[in-house]
Amino acid sequence: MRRMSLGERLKSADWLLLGLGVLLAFAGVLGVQTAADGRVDYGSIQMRWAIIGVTVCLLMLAMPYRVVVQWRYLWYVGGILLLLAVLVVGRGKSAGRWISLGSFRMQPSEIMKLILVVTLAGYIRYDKRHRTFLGLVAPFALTLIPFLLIMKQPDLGTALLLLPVLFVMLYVAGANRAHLGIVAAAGMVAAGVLFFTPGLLNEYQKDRVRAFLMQGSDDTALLRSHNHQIEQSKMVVGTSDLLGRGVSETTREAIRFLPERHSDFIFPVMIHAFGLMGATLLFMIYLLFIGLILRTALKVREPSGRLLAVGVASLFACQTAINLGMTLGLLPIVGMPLPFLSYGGSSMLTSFAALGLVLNVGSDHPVEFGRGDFD
Amino acid sequence: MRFRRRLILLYVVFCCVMGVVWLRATQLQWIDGDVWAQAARKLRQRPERLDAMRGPIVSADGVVLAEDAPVFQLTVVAWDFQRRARARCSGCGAIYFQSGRRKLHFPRTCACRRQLIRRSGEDAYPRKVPKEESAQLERLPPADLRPLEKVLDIAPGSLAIRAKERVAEVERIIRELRDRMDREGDDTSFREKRLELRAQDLLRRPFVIIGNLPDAAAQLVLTNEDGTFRGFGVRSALRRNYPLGDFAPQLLGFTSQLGPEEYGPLREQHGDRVTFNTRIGRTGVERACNWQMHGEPGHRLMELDESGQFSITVEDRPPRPGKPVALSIHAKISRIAEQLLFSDPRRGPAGYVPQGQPSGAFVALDAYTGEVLIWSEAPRYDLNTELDDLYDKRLTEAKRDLDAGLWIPRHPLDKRMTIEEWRARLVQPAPVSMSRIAQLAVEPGSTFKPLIALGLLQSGLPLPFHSYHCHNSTRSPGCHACGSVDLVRAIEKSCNRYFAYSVRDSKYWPTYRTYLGGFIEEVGIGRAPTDEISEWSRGQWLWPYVDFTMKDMLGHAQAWLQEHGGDDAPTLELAALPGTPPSVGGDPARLGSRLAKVAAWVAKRTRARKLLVSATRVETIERDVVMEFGVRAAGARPWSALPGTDRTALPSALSGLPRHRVGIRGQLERGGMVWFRATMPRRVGRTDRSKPPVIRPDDGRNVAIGQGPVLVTPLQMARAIAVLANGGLLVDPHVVRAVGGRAVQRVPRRLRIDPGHIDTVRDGMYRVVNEEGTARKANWGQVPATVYGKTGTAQVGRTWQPFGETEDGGPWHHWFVGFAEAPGRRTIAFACVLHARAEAASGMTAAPATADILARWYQDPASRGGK
Ligand SMILES: [Zn+2]
Ligand SMILES: [Zn+2]
Repeated sequence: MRRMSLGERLKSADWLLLGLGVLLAFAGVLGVQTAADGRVDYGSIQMRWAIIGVTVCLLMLAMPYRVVVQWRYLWYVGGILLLLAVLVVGRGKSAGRWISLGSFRMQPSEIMKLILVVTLAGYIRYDKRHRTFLGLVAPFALTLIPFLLIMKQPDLGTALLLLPVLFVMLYVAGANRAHLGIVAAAGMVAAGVLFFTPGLLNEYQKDRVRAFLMQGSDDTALLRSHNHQIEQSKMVVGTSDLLGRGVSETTREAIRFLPERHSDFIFPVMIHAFGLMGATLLFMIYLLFIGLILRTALKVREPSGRLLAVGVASLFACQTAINLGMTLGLLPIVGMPLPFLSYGGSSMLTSFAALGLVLNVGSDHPVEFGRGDFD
Repeated sequence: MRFRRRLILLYVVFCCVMGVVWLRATQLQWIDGDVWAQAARKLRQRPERLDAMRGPIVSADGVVLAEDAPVFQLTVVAWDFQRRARARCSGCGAIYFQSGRRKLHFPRTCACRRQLIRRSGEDAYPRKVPKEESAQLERLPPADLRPLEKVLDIAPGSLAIRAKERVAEVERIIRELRDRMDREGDDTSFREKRLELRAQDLLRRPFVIIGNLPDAAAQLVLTNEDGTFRGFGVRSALRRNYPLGDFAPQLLGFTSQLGPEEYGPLREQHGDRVTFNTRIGRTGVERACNWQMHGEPGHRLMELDESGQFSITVEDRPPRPGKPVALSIHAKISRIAEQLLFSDPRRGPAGYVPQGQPSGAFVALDAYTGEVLIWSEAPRYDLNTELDDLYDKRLTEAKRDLDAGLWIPRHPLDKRMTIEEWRARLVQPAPVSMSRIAQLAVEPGSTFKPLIALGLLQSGLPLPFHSYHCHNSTRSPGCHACGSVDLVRAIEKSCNRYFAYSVRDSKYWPTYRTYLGGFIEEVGIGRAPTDEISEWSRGQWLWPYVDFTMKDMLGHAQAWLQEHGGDDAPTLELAALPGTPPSVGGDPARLGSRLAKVAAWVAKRTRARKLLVSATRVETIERDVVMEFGVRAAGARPWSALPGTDRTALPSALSGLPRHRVGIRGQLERGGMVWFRATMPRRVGRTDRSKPPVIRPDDGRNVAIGQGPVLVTPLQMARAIAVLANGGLLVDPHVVRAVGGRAVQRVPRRLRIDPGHIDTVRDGMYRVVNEEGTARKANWGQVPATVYGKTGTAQVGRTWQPFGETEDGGPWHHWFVGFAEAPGRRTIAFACVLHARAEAASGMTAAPATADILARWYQDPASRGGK
């Protein structure tokens, strides 16, 4: 097995995939620009993040992904330490999700998502026990540690995102479907129990779930304040039209009352600015984007690369689906950015880093095995 | 290729999910779009509540006693107040204000800058002035508020202090909000945003700091253009105005804004009629006729136009004013009566001024209908004082930190009296807020004799002695050596001994005991006059017992203990028992010292170092404690609550109101505890009327001469006397003649009383005025009517000094009651009482005053008509 030179890598990289990523990021900058309320120029900040993101992406391309996978436990331990740091540092007045580095507030949970994908890809690649029921213990343990730490922050959305990623990775790696089914069912029951266990979830998180279940009703003031977000979001979507009103004052006026419009709720802004047509186009770009990542996974034969690509695909897919579902009132509101579009440095960097890894995997030499792994 | 299959399956699942999401977006836009468009429009709209005028209160002679009038209010906006720095444009002179910490806000009025922008072709309108440009602006010195303070006649600097208080209040609320969010573990990234929105809203909301701004001050603020009064604003509101000021304040009552805890329940009951701006009647007629006078608030929906101004009217429903209330009282003659009674220096011994004010009452009613015609009492207070602020404060104090403290109580800016002064007055045993006519019950003295006489006759028993020889002796009660008297002469001469012995020493005493008790109640003594009067009286009871907290009382008690016991004094602690009310009524200092005495006693007996104090709601009243705490008003110790009876009958004026019992509990070293109980009748309980009242043997003599346990209000007295005037009708005294043009009808009840007996008593009362009686010396010649009357001078019991008098004999009540009839004139029954320092013959004080008032009454056309 021969190391590829950087030039070869660049040449064989999936430039269409990177192009789609950059396109999404650019659309995001437009959306954030529209959503910005004038006090802070979020648009240009986002633009800077996008540029840094592309740079990071290219840097990721430069490093062989196998090295990245090999050092997975280093990343993993680093990520866990960061999460712990958040819990220690972020306690008190400003609820802790961030570590402040100067003016930049790093969100370790974002980075941890990617680290987990890398760790799992490496672990499952080098350990085939996941096909047995007991063999599932280790991957679940690897996932549950960051899961609990992120829950504790508390950041329910990011924490819950880790589980489908784990399931998808185990599934494609050939874990027994019945085993996964049993674990999933047990997880559901556990979640139900935990929801009603006092002290575990705080009232605020429960209220959001309740608010979701009671959409449209005005039962209590508290529910109303949670519902407000969903209702505003649906209102912005509902008042959009087919072709959109562009980045204009009309759009700004219409989204004036939507909280978090530049970050988690960027999609309603996009659909208002670019219409249902634009939104449909956005959907197609995402579908194509995920499709291309999966194609990369099919193309490479090296197992950890495959798993890496699948993991990243599931990460993006889940984030996209959950974010869109939540902005359209299909899911309860959890903090979940839309990849490449939502305002936020950590999210943008992580997304581009993940994309860089996929490009990295895709540009690697196809290595022939006797049979396709995981078959 | 299982791997491939799995990937394809996953991809298909993802595509399906995205498909569903896309369909949802389409559904929201295409199918529900109209609904959302409507909702979005609502966001551009601003509803406005238009307050309805409250109905006026008008007297029978057409004087407006209460009306809603537009006033200006001075408001402060915290946000603007904190950014008062100004600068002037050197070009056009427009005023720039501070906007951020450093930056200046760019005003639309600055012409030069607008031009600059137009030329540069920028489409956005920058809100903040760039640093380099602000250097060219001429900084102005801090704005001077003194001109406004001068107009308002308040101390220099006090406006800024008041505004800062308000700003601090807003900041405190925002801090509390932040703490609450921390407590609730609000983890969302929206947290800061939501907090910011709430804070912004609070910071920019105007809060009233002066409720009634003089026109000159309003003009000063409104016409100012150089930003002197930045942060201050003027808005117009409706305010209850009482043109006569201090006319019958206890009767008319006052209104105040809803408290936070009242809004919900009232809103449920009355729906849209209640808004946050709603003012409701707290006492008096304002309370009794509140919902009739309360109008329907209007509603206006404004929409943003293209330029961002709320200028488009979408909906407009004007408010509907409330109904006027017409009183039967004649304001002019009542005013004259006030003058004659309380401002005339000739009143001599009556010129006693408890609490620094003359005290007394005169009430006259139509003897056949019960309409109250003349209502004069003292002391009075000015209803145009900021009473409502005081009231609001009382309401909000207990609930300060609830509901995130979003309710900001308004402070009064009353130059005449501070809240402390008001409270001191209000917690006195006979507070200024208590009506001397309808609520303050005192010993009727000899004026009770006609009623006793009628009762004796009515009992059907032969009179114990046809003729009784009264000679002055040392035996109690003392008398004036009236000589040989029969019943009629006994009334004329006001012979104490005739009545005392005819009742107590006769062989019929056991029958009298029961019969008289019932009879006196028959003629309306010891029970509430009417529904209407008891309804307005009810609110009044909030006043004497202005809430104070248990902590206040404990503080006073602890201070007393420290002072008297030094280091050995036990420590008092508020027991955290369930049901302990945060506040109870009464005077904290008085109750505190009593509590301290008991605590000292308990501590001594039990050697307890720490005593727990608590209060619970009670259902029965302990009379002696009531007396101790100086609560004796209409019925707290009325006729039918005589000692020895097994029940306490209280007029409904006091009914349905909760009371509290303060308990003290000493924790004993060897276990166990001691309870001391005292009732604090913040408000008094409902009457049990299942048994007839019986006079206790010891009280027989006193009752017969209207002393001892007998307490009546002037209104009750006038009503009972009206029975003699109209030949046996018990009228319902009432003050509301008509509401919204519809007359209020009240049908008198006929009592089964022998007309012959009435004539006998009338004869006696005739002689009091017209023959050798006690009132003969008054100038009755000026009254063109036949006057029947009875004088009375009653001594105040030692146990209770309603006016704070001490051992020198306390105040005396000079009574004159009676009725007057003349052909073609209304027959009126009246009662007059003057609370005086000395024992003087009331024939020399109350009777001449009444004669003067009646003379003026018969000059008034209102006296014509009737039976
Ligand atoms: Zn200018
Ligand atoms: Zn005598």
